[in-house]
Amino acid sequence: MRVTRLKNVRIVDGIHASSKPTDLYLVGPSLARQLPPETRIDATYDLEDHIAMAGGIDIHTHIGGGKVNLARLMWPERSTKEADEKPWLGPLSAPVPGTWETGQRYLQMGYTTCFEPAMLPANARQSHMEMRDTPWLDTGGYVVLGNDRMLLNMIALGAGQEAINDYVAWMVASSAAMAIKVVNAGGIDAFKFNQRQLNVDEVHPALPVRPRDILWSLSTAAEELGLAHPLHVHCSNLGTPGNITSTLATLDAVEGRRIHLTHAQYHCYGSDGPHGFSSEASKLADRVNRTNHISIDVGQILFGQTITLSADTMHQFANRKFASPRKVIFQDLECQAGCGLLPFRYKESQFVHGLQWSIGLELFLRIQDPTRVFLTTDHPNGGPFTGYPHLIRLLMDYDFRMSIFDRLHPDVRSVSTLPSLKREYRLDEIASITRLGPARALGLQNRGNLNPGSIADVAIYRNDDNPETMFSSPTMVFRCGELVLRDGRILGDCQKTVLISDFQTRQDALRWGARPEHSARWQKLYGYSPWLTALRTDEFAEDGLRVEHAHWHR
Amino acid sequence: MMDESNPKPKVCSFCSLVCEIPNLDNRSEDPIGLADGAVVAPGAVGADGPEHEPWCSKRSIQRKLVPLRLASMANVQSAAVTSDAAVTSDAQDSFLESSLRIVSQQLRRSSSILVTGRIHCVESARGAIELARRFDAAIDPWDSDPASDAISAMQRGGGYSVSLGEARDRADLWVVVGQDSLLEQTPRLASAMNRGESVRLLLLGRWSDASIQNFKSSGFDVICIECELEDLPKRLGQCMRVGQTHSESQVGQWLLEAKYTVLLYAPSALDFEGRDLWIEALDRWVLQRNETTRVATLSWGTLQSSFHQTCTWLTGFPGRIKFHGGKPHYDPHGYRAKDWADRQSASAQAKSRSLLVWVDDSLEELPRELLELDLPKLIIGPNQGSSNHQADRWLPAGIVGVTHTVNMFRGDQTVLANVHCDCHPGTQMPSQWLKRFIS
Repeated sequence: MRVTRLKNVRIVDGIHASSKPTDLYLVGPSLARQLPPETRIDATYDLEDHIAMAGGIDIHTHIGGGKVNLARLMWPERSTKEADEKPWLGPLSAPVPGTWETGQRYLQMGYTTCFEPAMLPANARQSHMEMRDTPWLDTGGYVVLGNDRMLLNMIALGAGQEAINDYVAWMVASSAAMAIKVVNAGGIDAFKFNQRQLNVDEVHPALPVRPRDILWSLSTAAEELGLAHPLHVHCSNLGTPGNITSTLATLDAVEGRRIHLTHAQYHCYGSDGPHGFSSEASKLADRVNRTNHISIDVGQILFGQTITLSADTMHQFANRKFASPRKVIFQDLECQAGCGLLPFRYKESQFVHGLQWSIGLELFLRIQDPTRVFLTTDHPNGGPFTGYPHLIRLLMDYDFRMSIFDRLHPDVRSVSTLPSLKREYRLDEIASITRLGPARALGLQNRGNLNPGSIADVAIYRNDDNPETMFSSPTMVFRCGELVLRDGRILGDCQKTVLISDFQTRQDALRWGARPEHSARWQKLYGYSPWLTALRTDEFAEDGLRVEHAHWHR
Repeated sequence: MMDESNPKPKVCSFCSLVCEIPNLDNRSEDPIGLADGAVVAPGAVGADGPEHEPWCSKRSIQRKLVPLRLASMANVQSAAVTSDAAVTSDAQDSFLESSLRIVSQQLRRSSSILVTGRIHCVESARGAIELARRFDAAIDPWDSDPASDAISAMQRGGGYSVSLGEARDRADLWVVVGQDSLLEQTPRLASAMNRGESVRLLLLGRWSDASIQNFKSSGFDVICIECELEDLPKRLGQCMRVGQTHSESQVGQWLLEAKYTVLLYAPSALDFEGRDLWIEALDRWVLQRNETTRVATLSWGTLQSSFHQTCTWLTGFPGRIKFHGGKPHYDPHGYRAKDWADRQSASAQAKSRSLLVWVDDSLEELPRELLELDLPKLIIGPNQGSSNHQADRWLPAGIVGVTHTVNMFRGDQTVLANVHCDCHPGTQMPSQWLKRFIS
């Protein structure tokens, strides 16, 4: 077993507070702090003036699946210039690049694990295949429920929580998912019936079901099944002024059960001020600070061109007039969800965009526990993931933050409270929002930290006064103990792992699809057997992937 | 068809995954879900009694013959290698090894390579793209014009589309545009579209009585209007306006009454100039209609959808690319497969340095225009064809969903399914051949 010694390195993982340099050992695929004296060391790297962090974990990034591929397809006019000396510092070749470029660019920032947050059940196979073709990253995905007509019918007919749990267990298992994602509960389906808005306590146009019922049923299922990650929620009324009301109602709907609110920046808007659009970040942050069952990822926007993509057809369609350039794609999908894509340019000079930028930063700065607020741009919706080092600098450097704030629309400068938030993130807090916190929220005990026995995914950064420079280019990245990147150059391939949630009834979950009554109902709705699209974990092994199960540590 | 240890249904890999197939060796097996119309009754299989529709017997006979055909072809080939090369050990192994050596040399020698063919599964697509990347080749499926037109229309203006399952459940009006070739390619489509109740369907274009009957017997309430399709997007708008003032017009009435209209067409069944502009105009009309009601298109792709999807996620582009230094360069006009072949064969100098790699997942005969090309070809697939070009080489390969389990997209390009079958020993899949050349 290969043993690597990282000598004189400062460990920053959000757990170990010491600032003294120490030695860290990579023993095969695992970490160790001490070794028996007779141990043969294969390689030693003296890392004075460097820090070691666990491999980064992106809890919410759109990297695989039907709409991601559509986004690639709709943007052919990309840069084709040849690689320069440090290609990893430049922009992506397209807002949503191919899988190889995605894997390469994440690795070049020190990220090693990523999660696709919106796998349609009918399309989960594609999501996993794309992620399998994304090199250097361990991956997982969340299955989209909450607009699937089969579930809505079960709730409407009062099928009971036990039956719903069985169905959810099948969906999670047959999609090889880490978690359940709900997108605008019931709203996507309501839009298929030509309803243009659906609030948390409004009834679906065709079924006696409210979003509140859906959220309650799914959060209960996640809890009772014991899924590793809580219900992952994209709230109703995405991007709509005044949506803080429905966001707080969503949090109430789960009645104290665990919940993860995703791209929260888009869900804490008021409707005050000169433009009828204001920040309510403090209300959401207060709620997170007062409780311990809520985590969020921010979905920070970054100025520039991107493509927004979402399963939330209802709100994407409402925003179609903002597409830049003017082309939009929408799909209604398989009685399960939908998708909407529109290219979008966030501009510093635009009031709404400027306020969105400051709202995202407010959330980061107002939420006190860095293990419950996670760094994301909801790639590519708020901006590309390659903007993370820039975002880290925004969080660590007040003056830098203000230098950009001063360029925003004058009305943003007059209404935003951002200047009063003087907090500057420390390195250990950066480790928490990019590693430790996401790992804990996902039930991944052996990732996101540098504890003995954890996976030897390690990123080494040279200390630098400019955090953007520092986090743009780790000097080394190890995957499962193997050095795969040095000074930006990729040295080799690595074993990939797919991450799947374990839960109490996992062994039996797939039997749901074999029961004649379920099979017949599925066949009637979809026109094909439930097994046509179902994934079995042994397929991953056949494809050369390792499977790792995540657990909820209560 | 379904058991505890392996419950995956067997799906016909030649009809864009709209129908599961019964066990060919067990005619008495009970079908599952007959009432839904998407599953084929055993009685419909085989030449002895097409009780339902003839398509299944057509496909099934082909399926049954393929393994025999593959085996005999492989035997002929390995026997030839054994005698030519005086190899005394196992003929099959020597055939593989000698093929590998010769083809690897051929690939290294050629300075201009096109990877093309009929690539129907993710596995073949991955292999073909990796081969192209490794040898800085161009890559594009042979008959990619329909898909390319649909993609370029979407890239310009976007659109609003719907998947088959959604349309099946939600549509209260179907408008099916095109001609008989749509049902020839996917004979079971009409059944798969219907959820088991009477639904309105407007057939526009050139449809035979048999096709109309196919839709009717699948449960649709059909009005067929024979018309030229070129100006359809414009006429749909007019029809709506007419409908508003003349309520006696049944078509206008249907369009106005519909809560969810689905416009289905297959780009491959639209055989007129300006197909991309036609699709773009239709998409624009659909997007506009969604301001007030719900309408969506269902563009039924060819079996090559799996290639376009895979190529997009691996490279960022749907095809028509050439690799330079391992990086893809997209040119939807410059890297069209047939144009590349024409260009290379027109120049004596280019010809000598060229190689066309044909990757075939299809049961069909090789296209005549391919066989007539005066270019060296490497053919990886079940069909040898009858090329006389001296440098041509054939590597026999199995059939997706018949000899090997693969992953394929349904025609609506949203559902990716595992097309399961019992592995046929002794055959190589195109993807397996390709992997050998890359490693």
